[in-house]
Amino acid sequence: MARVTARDPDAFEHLYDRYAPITLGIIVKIIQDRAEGEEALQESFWRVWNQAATFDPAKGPFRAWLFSIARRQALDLLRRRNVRPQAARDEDEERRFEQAPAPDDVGQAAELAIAAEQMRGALNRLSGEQLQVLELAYFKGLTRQEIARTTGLPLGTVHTRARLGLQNLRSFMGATNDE
Amino acid sequence: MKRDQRIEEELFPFYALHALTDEERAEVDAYIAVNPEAAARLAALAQDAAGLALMATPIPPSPTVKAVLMARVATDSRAAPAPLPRPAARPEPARRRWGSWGLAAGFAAAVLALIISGGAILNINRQNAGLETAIAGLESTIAGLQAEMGTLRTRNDELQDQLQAREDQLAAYLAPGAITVALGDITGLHPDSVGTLTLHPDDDTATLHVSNLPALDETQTYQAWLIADGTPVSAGTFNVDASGAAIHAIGDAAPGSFEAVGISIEPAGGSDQPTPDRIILLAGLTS
Repeated sequence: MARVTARDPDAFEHLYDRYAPITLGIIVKIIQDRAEGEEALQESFWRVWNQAATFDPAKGPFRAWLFSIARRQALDLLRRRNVRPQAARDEDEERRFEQAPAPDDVGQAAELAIAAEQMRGALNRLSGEQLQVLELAYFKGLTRQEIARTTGLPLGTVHTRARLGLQNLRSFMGATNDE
Repeated sequence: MKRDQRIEEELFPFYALHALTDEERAEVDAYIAVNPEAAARLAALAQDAAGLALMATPIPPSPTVKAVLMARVATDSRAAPAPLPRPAARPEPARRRWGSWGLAAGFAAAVLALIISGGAILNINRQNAGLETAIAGLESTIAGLQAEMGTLRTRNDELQDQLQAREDQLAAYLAPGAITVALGDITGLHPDSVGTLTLHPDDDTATLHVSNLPALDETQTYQAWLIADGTPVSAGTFNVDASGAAIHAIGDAAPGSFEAVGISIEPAGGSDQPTPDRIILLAGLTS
């Protein structure tokens, strides 16, 4: 990533090759359209290229920063397409990721694949109700109030499921790592 | 600072999931700004939420995406130095929101400008090619007209010559004491062939005018004959022009010294006697 910050196209290409498939997967999961997804993918990596100097590896892994950029691009597309009120656009999303404590980014594709597998394993252990709330928030960009309206659940139940969902996710991820 | 259970239990998870309204986010930001322990708890929660991205199934993008992206990067890396780090202060939202799209729009505008200018150049080239074709056509037309003009000039010269011959003939006819007799086809094979012989008594010469005679090859010639007392006497050979006309001067042609005039086709160089079946024009003179 330091080489990308130094405007090294070869290093940037290397990052693209490694992360483009999972990033496109995230985008398509949000907008459900591959063609538009590829546009958002390109814009996401273009933003990485142009804002590489703002990335601080001490504050979090590169992939978290990249995924947050891609998610924002996808949700922007979704909002323009749906033209409906959504959760406030989190302009500091990348920086919050960067600020979050995180393990060292080993920078290997295998590590990414292992992390993804661990996450899927943890998600499989979540209850369907908790997973639904997390997905509606993260991949659909719905506010907590919209989730309540969409699911017909009381707002308090939405709060509980989101909170427990994230707690369980951390717990299951830790369990996976220990296994 | 006292822990706010409502904010941490109700808003923190959705803050981490990026699913709060502006007002709610502002409330959380204000809370963690003065509560480092709460900020750390929120950061950990955000890290957990970030892992949700890995739920997605990887999809290999089409090669075109990479090609276009790397082309943009190559252009950008040649044109611009590395950007300075973003300032800590939060940028104006609308500008950030559309920043990448602005770059894309700028890039698209540049590409569009190139396309338009390229299109204009192509259009000019196309127009040039069209004009060159038109010029070539005009030059061909001019060459054709010049050739036609040359033909007409030649034809005009011929007509001028014929007119001059007619004028000479008319002058001969009108000359004082001139005698003109008409020669006609006696074979029936050349009904259009005609001739006149004008006698000039003042100098005992004669002028033979013929027209519409058949063209001859180089092995043949026309020969004039004055027939006196039944004996043909050669009056010289001549050739006709492209129209079959000719003017042939005859000396020693005093009126009354011959009773007929004839024209025959003979081998090149002429003959001593006219070939009987090759006489085509003949006229008798009566006193």
